[in-house]
Amino acid sequence: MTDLLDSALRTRLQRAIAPSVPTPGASQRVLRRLRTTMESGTSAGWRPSRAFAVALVSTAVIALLGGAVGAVFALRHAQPSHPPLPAPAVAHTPAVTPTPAATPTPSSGPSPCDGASLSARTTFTIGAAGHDGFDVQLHNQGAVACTLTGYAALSGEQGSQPVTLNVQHEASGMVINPTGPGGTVPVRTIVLAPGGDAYFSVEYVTVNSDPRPCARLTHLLVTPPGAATQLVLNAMPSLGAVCAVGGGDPWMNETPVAAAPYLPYP
Amino acid sequence: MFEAELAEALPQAFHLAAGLLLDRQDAEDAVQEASLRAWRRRGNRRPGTDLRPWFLAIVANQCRESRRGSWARLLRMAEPPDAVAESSDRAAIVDLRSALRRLPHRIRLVVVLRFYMDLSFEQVASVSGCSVEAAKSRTRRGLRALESALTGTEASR
Repeated sequence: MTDLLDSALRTRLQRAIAPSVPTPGASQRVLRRLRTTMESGTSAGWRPSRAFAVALVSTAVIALLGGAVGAVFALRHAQPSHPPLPAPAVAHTPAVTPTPAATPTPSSGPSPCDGASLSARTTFTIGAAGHDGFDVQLHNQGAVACTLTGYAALSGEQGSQPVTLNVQHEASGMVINPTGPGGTVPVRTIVLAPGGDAYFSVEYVTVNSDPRPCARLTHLLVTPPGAATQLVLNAMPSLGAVCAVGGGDPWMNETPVAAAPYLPYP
Repeated sequence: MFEAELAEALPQAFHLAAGLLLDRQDAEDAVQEASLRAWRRRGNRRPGTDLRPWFLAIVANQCRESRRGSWARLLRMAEPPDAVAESSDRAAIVDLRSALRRLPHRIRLVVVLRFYMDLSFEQVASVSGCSVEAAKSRTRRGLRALESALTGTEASR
């Protein structure tokens, strides 16, 4: 019986799965994208871990502080007749390199991202115990760097009907909990270089515990922080039912925009 | 070098993803993501070992993670059924696909690896990250779970 079952199963599996096998051209598509990633090296192929990013930032801060202290020390102890001391290490940083006509410019840094220069897509999805969540990747497709600070504004659509969401900004959700219970994720200004990415996470409840039916969103509308243009996510990885929690509008939890993906957790 | 090895493993990866996700586009997406993930983690691979089981394990994990919800599936159901519709025993195939979908991921994984991809239990265990005994045990559980679907359709023919 087992052999017969095995044989029958093998035959049926072949016929059941075969229509779902990607076409031969898929290999070329996969390899083409891989090649692009390998050539770009870092942008899509290698993402620094948070620990690495923290170490990098710490090193930069220490170098800057060290350079500044060194410069102050050098200035205080320099004799007027002596030739100028070599510039400290920070002089190699373009931001502090002395320029001949150093006219102060009020704000030369990147300005907040305009939504029109961004694109959005969902990336990693996660789910457990009736909660689903996913990362949203905001990609700077413009030619200049821009900044994002804080939370994106979210709303939904069910067909052509707008759906107001009860959006909360808590870091300690059931599936999106980068800080553990009760923690908060600090809001930081993220600078997006051209081609750069930033991320935020959303979490929602898929099991109804409310008298009202859950919303079945067809689109999630994302207004990046500080932007006026809405981005439409219409290929949600697992966005089916979005239910209310304790009454009110369908509940959604959101994290602030960050430089690195929230998911998957290491 | 990595690309060439990966290119050889891609056909099996597509079959595995198709068996786990039962959707052509999802399968391609999963293998695409898995390829990028494999490249990022290429340093974790034990030197001198075959890329295939290592990569198939990454594909299996990617498939587990890239669950798509009812929203996406509803759209997909509107697509005309392809080769399945042409088969004479369409109902049996549909039943088997439903039964496969109901299997827990780790059971579905061993069933697909063993009975669809014809891998040995040692290879199944390697990709699944479990012992050979565990692979056999999971296979038995998978068979039992699918048995009713198969025997049911046998009886109706």
